[in-house]
Amino acid sequence: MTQSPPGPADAFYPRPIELRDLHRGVVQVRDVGEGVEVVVIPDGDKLYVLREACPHMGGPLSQATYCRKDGTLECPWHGYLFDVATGALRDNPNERIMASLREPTECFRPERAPRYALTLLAYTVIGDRAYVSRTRGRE
Amino acid sequence: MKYRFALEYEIDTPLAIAVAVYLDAEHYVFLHKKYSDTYEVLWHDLAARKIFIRETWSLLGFRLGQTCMTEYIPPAELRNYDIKPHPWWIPSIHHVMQTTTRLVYTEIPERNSTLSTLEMELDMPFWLYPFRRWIRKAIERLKIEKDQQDIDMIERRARLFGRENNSIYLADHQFILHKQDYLRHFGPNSKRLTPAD
Ligand code: FES
Ligand SMILES: [Fe+2]
Repeated sequence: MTQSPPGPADAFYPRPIELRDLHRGVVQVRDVGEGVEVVVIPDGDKLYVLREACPHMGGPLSQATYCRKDGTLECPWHGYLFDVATGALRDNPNERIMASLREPTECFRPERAPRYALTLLAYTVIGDRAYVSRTRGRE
Repeated sequence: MKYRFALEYEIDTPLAIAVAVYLDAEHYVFLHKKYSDTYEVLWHDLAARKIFIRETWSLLGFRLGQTCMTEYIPPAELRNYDIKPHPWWIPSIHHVMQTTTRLVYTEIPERNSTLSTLEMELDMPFWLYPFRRWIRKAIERLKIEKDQQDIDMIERRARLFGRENNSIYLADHQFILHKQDYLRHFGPNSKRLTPAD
């Protein structure tokens, strides 16, 4: 018998993530239906599910590099480093690489940089499946 | 002996985006890390829009690289010259060949896209001259491969944010090279390069 997630039927994307197919510590991409792809990173007893686009310029996080030791995800476009547990930006390495060129000017105000953060998606696990919520935020 | 050639093709993106992507230096050692994974600014004169850089990559366990003068000539021309191997003792074609590149982006108004023209001048000794076409092929292949990475980025951004959306490059917190000059030509208050009918 197929179990369905609790609550209203449209609270979740239609296609659940099959947990048995996932590889630990590896960045994977899953189609959750309706043309939506999410990035899935299972690590230990944790499962991170996030939007596939980098909050900086939309880079493909399915091609990001995950560091298990630090719990960080590095975007392939500009190397911004995010904390997968909180989603917060931990480092923009270009601040060091380009340090001598990054003098603030009237059209470059680094102090105004937004707090970039990964969009972590909530999900509910039922049996061997994780149903991804349409709302943001982890459960 | 001088050998000149040009590589020309259309990029399906507005000129403002093509130039912004080039000036978006934050992607150089990440998106293009396969080709060089370090970038250092050795000297710069931003008033003259010149930046002297060193970039390196690893090959068979060795770290190789080159230094190069880069120059932006607004609105849409980029030059590289004075390319020297780094460290100086590594075997490199740049010991015997002077390379100058001039990349010019031109608007194609009918399609609101960009013509990319790379002009190369190789100044090489006579004994290298017979190999000029082979060298040309290698340079062209590298350029096309790297450009493809940029084009993939451009296409994905167009799908996500719209084809003409350069707002992130204009945002005041976002770093791009020679931003003041870029804004003058492609910012919200800039004049159209090609007057609308
Ligand atoms: S798009 Fe991800 S770091 Fe820029
Ligand atoms: Fe690029």
